[in-house]
Amino acid sequence: MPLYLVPRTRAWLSAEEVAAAADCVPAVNATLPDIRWIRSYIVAEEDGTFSGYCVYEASGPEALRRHGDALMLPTDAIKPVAATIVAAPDPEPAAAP
Amino acid sequence: MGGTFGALLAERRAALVGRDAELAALLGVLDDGGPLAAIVHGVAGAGKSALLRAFRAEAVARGVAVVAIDGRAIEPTEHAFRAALGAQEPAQPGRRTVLVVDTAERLRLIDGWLRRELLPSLPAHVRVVLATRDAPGAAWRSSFGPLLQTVALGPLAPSDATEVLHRAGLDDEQAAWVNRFTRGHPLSLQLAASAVRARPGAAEDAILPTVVQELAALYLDGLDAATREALDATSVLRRVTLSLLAPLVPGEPPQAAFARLSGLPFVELGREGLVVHDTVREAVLALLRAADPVRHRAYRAAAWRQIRGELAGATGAARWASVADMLALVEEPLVREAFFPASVQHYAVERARPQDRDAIEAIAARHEAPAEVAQVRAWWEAVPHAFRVARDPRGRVVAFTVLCEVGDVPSRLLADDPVCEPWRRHLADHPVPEGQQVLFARQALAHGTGAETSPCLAALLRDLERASLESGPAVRRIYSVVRGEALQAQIAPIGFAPLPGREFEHGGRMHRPTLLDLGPDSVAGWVSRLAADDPGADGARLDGDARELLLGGRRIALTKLECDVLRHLREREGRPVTRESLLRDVWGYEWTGGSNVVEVAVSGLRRKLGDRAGALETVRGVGYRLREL
Repeated sequence: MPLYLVPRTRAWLSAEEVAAAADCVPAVNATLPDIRWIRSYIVAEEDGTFSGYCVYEASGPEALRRHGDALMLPTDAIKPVAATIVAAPDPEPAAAP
Repeated sequence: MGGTFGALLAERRAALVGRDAELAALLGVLDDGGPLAAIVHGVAGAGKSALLRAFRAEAVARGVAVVAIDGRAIEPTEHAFRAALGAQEPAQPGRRTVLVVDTAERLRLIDGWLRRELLPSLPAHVRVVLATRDAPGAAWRSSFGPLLQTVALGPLAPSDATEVLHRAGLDDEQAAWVNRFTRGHPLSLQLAASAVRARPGAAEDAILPTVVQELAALYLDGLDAATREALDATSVLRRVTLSLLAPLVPGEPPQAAFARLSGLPFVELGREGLVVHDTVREAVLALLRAADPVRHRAYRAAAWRQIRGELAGATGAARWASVADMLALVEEPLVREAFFPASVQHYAVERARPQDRDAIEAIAARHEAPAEVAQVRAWWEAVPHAFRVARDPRGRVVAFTVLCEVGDVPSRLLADDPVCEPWRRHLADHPVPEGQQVLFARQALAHGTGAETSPCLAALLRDLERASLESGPAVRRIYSVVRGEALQAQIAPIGFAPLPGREFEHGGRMHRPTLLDLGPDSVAGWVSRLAADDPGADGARLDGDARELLLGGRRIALTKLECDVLRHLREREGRPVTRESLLRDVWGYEWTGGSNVVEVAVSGLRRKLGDRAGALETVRGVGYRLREL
């Protein structure tokens, strides 16, 4: 399946919401067969909310829209990844905010 | 100065070192115009209880009435919380009163109710202070805004930690050493100080990742053998009472062991008995389980037998206490998490409110065929109180369940609902005795993942389980339905079994009806069985699903009837059981057969018990009594 990057601006209002979303990853991966949630990079915004840059394998943009809808998350854009440059493997996940 | 209340107040206030800023922040709730509520949070052993004690003393000194509740001492239900409030001396009307709730993490199950219903309903002169392990979630912050004071208890500053250690009798050099590895954690300081006093020459290589556990071990090594044995034995308990101590520490009078335990620095006397600090208890338990599993099993078995005996005669609050004691022995994760959540709950579960209707229908419409959506609507119209919802941290409904007593459902709705059809048939074929309740857990559906397992659905399932058990001592059966193997596998360990031959298709999906029969002793009997099913809880183990008795290393196959009779007798071990009660509770009311069925079943059981047959005694003129197998 192709790789996509999905920015989600101010998707989470609190650290609890981020933690709840992280808890949901296995269940979401198990129930949406045409999509695989690979990882998300979460950044803290100045207003206390959190935004995410989420990487997925998906059958197409429609599957990603369904995924966002299922998790009640905003989908700013759906960008197919043209190429991946891996300079080093991801470090250990950063601690939850 | 000793001996007066004033002296005690001074002592309590002075005992608190390094928490001046935190105490001042808490005391702000007593000021006019100050915050209405405060939440103290910090890791285990951070000194929350000590801070609350100092706060209460100061509040009393200022003429404020204090109402104190310990989350460990009450059932985590609305009813029990209100009862605990009602049991306290009522303050004069209008007098400033502060409600202080310690160990509030034990009340996570009613967190939503506390926040949304209880606190707003308190009189205007009441302020609230809670102590809990976790920082308050977004729901608390958004409900109270600046009217909620949050007080985080971190480690003590080095100078304050040194002061604590000096007071505990350590010199500068010892204090510096202890300070290096306790890093200001108050319980660690306390334990380390005790350990150093007991073993002044202990090695300095105790700098290990789990400081408290290592300290606990270090401290335990310094205990005398009898105290250590009492502590090991009681590590399987959630509270220590004289009656529970007696079978666990048979070598000495329970009063002596009780006194010895109560003198330890990490043991407190609570309303229900002695409470060993969770962190230490868990460390002791882990050490015991790893180092001496045989003794660990023996303690669990002895505790199980004693609690089961206490459950049999208990009513009201004492019954809850014994049920909670038994629950603490259950290691099944679904049960443990339902009653003793180990972590922050991301999803608040509560009864649905009228405005949740659209969200519930929207979830149903995402996953169900129109006919099933119509059924959900019909249930909402007829029994809205049967709906419970899980909310995400933002308060949005992300999942719902439907659970209610069968008598609450209009018969027309039951007759029209294909999901209920197999339950009704089974119930007609196997009626429950009069006075026993039957619950229908009709549905569980999440916005994102439907009926598949997910964290928010798991929160609802735990809530369903809890709500079922809180329905009262008369609940006999809970009928439910599953669609996938995963969910069935999840609920099977707590006793849900499929109803064979009653699968059906509805809305294009296969549904498998399932049943949890709690047995004639309802929740108490069910919890006892769950605890007994855990490895090591009981010498003999009855596997109801496999219809096998594991006895002395043998697997003994039983018929369903023999299995039910044996279970009934084991739940009343040591007590005479009448033939009539066996007929009523095992065979059921519908039984109209001959009169020797009980004798035949008992005789078959004795044959299979072999050299242990003598444990199943005949009580002349009454019935039977089972001794320990």
